[in-house]
Amino acid sequence: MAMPPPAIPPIGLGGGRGRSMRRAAGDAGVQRTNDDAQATKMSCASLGYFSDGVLPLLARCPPSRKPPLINRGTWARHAAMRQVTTDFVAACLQHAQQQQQQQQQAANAEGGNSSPAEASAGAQQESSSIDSSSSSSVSQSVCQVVSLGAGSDSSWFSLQQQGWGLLPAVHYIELDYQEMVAKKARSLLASEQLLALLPDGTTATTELAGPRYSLVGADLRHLEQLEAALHRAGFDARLPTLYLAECVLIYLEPGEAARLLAAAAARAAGGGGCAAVAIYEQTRPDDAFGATMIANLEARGCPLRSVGSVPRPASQEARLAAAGWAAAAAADMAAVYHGRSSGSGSGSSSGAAGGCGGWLRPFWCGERGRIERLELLDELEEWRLMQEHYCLALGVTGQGCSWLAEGLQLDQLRALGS
Amino acid sequence: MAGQSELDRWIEQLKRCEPLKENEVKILCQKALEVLVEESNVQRVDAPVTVCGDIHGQFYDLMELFQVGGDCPQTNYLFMGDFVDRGFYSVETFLLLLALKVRYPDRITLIRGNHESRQITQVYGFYDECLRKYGSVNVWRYCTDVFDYLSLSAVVDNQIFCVHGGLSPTINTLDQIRTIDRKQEVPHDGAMCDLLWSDPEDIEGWGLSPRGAGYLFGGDVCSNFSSNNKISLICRAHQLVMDGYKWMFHDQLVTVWSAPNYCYRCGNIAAILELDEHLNKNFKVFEAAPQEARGAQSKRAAPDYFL
Repeated sequence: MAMPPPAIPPIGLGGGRGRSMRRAAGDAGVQRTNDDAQATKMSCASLGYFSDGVLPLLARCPPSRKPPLINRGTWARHAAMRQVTTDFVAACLQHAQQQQQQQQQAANAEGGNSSPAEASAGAQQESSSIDSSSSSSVSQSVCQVVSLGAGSDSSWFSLQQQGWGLLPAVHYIELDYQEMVAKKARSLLASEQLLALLPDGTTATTELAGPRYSLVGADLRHLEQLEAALHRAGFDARLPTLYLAECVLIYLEPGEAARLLAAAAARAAGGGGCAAVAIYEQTRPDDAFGATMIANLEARGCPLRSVGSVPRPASQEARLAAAGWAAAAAADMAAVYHGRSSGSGSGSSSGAAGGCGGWLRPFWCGERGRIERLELLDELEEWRLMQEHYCLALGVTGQGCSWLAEGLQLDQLRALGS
Repeated sequence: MAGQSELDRWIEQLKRCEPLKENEVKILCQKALEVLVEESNVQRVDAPVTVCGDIHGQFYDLMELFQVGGDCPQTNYLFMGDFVDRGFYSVETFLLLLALKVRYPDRITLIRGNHESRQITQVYGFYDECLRKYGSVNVWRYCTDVFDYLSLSAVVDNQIFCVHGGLSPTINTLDQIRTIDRKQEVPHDGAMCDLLWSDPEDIEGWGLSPRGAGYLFGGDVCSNFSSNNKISLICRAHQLVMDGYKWMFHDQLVTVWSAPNYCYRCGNIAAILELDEHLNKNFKVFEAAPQEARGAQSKRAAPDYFL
């Protein structure tokens, strides 16, 4: 494992998203939950659930072993969000190529005949296994990813280090509190390994702005701050945009979360572009497990302020629709992971034997089979309970953007949720 | 060796959730081996008896259980395994039950759960807890040596078969269980493993277990085993059930779960099954011990979520 460079000041950056939202809750136990979140991803990486060579540089904590349930659930979250991201980029590239061809065909009576399927292959595979030759065909941003409350998430750097061929097609914008962003920027600039991953043309102050990776500060509860930050990052409303909201909206007040989603939909409508959103957060607060979860997290100083407004996966769809998103789909993570609706199995212990199908792509189904052999999981009932209390919600909006809903498999996700 | 007065002193101390000294644990475990080695793989138990499921180191909830079910030895108890792991007080929980066993061997029966294993306790907490509380793994070694001697099952008045997990495709009769050489670490497969790991499921026949050990067995399997062995009920633990107990297979099998708010996270109710001298069944349900009754460690409890 790479040692953290000595130049980095000892600032306790979190290991994933949503950290600084908890920070806003002003809680004394925040540092410990930060450490938990870091330790969880580190635990997964050290046990081989996924590889992330830059995680130790951003989430600096000693490796510790988490229970198998936590490792497996963290993998499920990683798989879902990574699939959304790679599917999104692949769909955007394919769409851009098709448009280019149509323009060529319009200009040239003969027309071209090259296959648009090349880019979509990226959606099926994890970054490291994608042929690097495709990177030569990608030279400029065709889409944007906006990571809300990114914390010290390492996704972009990890994909960059692994040389994912489609990454150059993306402008990846991370948003978090100004203070959080400044700390992360300092960490990045102090690490030779991380600095080397940043492309030319990236400017750095207390923020970073560049053609492919930007890191900007805003309080997500204040939309004017958010708009200004996106502007500083060079956000282009004409490009298809994916918003990632991983354990972020749930910490906002219901109205704040709804306004943020509505603003994102309006931004796409205003720019004439397509937008997608992927939300991963807690659900079902009102049964015995959910009530205990709410109480436990409140006791830790991170109350789930908006969970009451989205108490089940279907209400995530309703929230997106109300916020102006043309299409929405949601399912709990038990359904996402096992590839079938949670209501369908007869018994609580029948879960892990599920086939592929559902929403997860074959690559991740294969990975699921691999990671299930890493550790013995003797917590099956609890595993199902946990996964039933997290959900994945996807939304797509914009004129003529059905290609994006297809690319992200909204229909398949919706079928799992029903 | 430990006399009765010393055992009584240890029991009082453990009831306050104060662990014994390392050399005391050694003596207690040695004494326990002498008691347990005499027991059958299918230990005969007389009614009345109160049958309990998983405890998992939730010491203060075990105290709640004794409040609800009555103290030992005034009440006879049969614990169906999984005393350790997950909770904060596996050491105190297991040692208290073991001290009661040594002091009142005919009043309390302890059978083995799948967590009474060297391998599992190294993943799920008991090993770490021993290391943290004693600074060495000696106590873990003494305890895991005792695990090897715990009986595999019990039968109450020749009527009610009690086992931690469930049935095995290699076992048709109680006599076949009696022939198992149990004094070993829980194997990865085979009859002994299955008894501790299997789960009932609404299927026909046998199925693969998603746990990676043991099997799933259907109602037909349960019926056949019961009629072969003239058993009226299979009573088992092993699976969290939110209401504390759950009937299956037309009341031929019941799951009993005795760890309320399991892992301080699940929000479930716990239950114990009282069998009177006529084997009439009475479930008593209970919730987690109130916050103020819990030790300092549980107050700091921060169960993991994905944040």
